[in-house]
Amino acid sequence: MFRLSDPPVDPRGPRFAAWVTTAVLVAVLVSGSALLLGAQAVVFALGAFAGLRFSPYGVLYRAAVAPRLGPPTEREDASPVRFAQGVGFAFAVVGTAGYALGAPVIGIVATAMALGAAILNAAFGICLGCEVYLRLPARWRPQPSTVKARNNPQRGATA
Amino acid sequence: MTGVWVALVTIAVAVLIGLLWQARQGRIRNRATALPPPVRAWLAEAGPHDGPTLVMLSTPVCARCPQARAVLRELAGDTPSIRRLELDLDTHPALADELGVRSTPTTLAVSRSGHELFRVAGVPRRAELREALAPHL
Repeated sequence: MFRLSDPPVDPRGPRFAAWVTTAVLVAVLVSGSALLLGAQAVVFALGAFAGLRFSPYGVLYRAAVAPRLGPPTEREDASPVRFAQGVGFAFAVVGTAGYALGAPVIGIVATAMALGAAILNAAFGICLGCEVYLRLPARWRPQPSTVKARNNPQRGATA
Repeated sequence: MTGVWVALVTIAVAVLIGLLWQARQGRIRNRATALPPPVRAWLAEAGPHDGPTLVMLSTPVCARCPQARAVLRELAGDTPSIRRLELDLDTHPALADELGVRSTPTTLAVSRSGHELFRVAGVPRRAELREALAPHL
């Protein structure tokens, strides 16, 4: 599902995207709008399945925010971020269906869960993939090719 | 109106979880237990070492592993008696269960006799880690 080869990303980009996502999901809860949550689902899908460089919030970050911040001091692997986008996509799809098909409780619960994850990411930098990876069944685990290649010499890595 | 309340409660719960999580990150948790045999076997493959070994447990999806790796690399670089190894739990899934590790990065400090001294979840705090290792050098 997540065979990835994105280049490393400026870690401030995903944090910025998480803040935008937080604002959008709060607006969804307040308005109960299936359309707005559906749009957020598309945003998640672009980041998770097409690649982070296609994520609209990432594009906004690179165009409007990054030039004011200067170059990043470190870069982080893109795969945890894409994995989180995929999880967000799943919740957004369920929530959109709930709101659109007259089951607002499902819409509210799914949106609240996605909101919780977005806040943890935005405010604390918590990486969902790091916390859940080992608890997932093997076939659901994202397997990023870039990280695999980089981590291959596991042994004797003394400095 | 329900949605507004749900949003407020969700924000409050998420912030609380985040603060609790942050307080645990990088903290040294003393263990002083024998390592499970499969982990000892994995360590034995790396050969004997006269000093403590830091084993960083990683997964392919691990945003903080590079930061943790940098802290450990610096520490092992400064102190030659500290050995640094890395174990990808994705290629050794059984070891994660044996060790009871549920998130990455987690760093195990192992004595020269193969006992776990302590472990650190998240990015280790440099000074605290150095201090905790000092009696074992």
